[in-house]
Amino acid sequence: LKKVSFKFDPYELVGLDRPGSGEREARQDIADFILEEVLNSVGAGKSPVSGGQWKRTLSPEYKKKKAAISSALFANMELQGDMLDALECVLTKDGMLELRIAGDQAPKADGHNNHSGKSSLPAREFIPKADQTFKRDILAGVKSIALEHFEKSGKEKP
Amino acid sequence: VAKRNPRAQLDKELAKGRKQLDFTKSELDDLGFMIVEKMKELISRGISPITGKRFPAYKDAKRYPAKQKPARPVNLWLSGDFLDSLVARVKGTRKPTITIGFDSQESNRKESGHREGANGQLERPIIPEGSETFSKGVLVEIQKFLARKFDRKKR
Repeated sequence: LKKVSFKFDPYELVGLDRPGSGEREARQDIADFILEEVLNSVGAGKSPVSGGQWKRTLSPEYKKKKAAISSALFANMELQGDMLDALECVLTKDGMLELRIAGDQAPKADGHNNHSGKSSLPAREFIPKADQTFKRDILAGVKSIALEHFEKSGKEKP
Repeated sequence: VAKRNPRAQLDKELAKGRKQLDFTKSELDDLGFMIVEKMKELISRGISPITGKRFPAYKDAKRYPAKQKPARPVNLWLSGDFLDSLVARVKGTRKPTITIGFDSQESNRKESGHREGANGQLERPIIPEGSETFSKGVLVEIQKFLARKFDRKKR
């Protein structure tokens, strides 16, 4: 597995047209916001995915191992931090955004997101599957950033 | 019957709009408090309130933090004094402004160290400077706060 990802059109996600000029800047702002909000949810031990599952408790053995490194004794997806360091939200050439973990951290990410359907680990979903989306408060933030760019671009606000 | 003066009407509407945009000291205190809380929330989870990205890991966790604290999350917390001294102050009466900073010289010194990467540490500033601003997550929270207040005043 080389990548666990969610590719999406941020405007379609919140029911808006694309802003005119400055669309790329708007998309970059939304990408930064999505990454921050996903990291924030995960750090709190909550799924940023709408209806997403999240087993917050750890097994006693893992909790013991984690206590030697971390002050967060619940599931926040961070032991050494390599997997979350690999999480990114990037602009794609076809005008979309992609939230993803690629490369050698991808199998770990699939372990909890189970995009492959083959994982037996407890579900802790932080990258939506194709038929999922983000939680309502994240979508509201995306919408407000997009609307702000509508105003800047001079295109009539929807 | 008095004639309607469109200019006076417009001035009145503009004045009303300006008044709706004015916030009281107490409302700005609330906003400042909200910003500091949001910053602390992000920092506690290892996220920079300036970039919205993860703070870089400790270079050599065996040297620092060693046994002083767990190496994860990288949350700038040791004794708690640094983040406890992060506050918002509203200054001025005619045009009040919010200042986010520290109420301790020691914390100002630590922040300079985080910004400059003193003693070989990686840079982890938390107060925006120069062309920097807050992360998108903090800005969206500010926008939501202002929109709520504005809606309430419009009613």
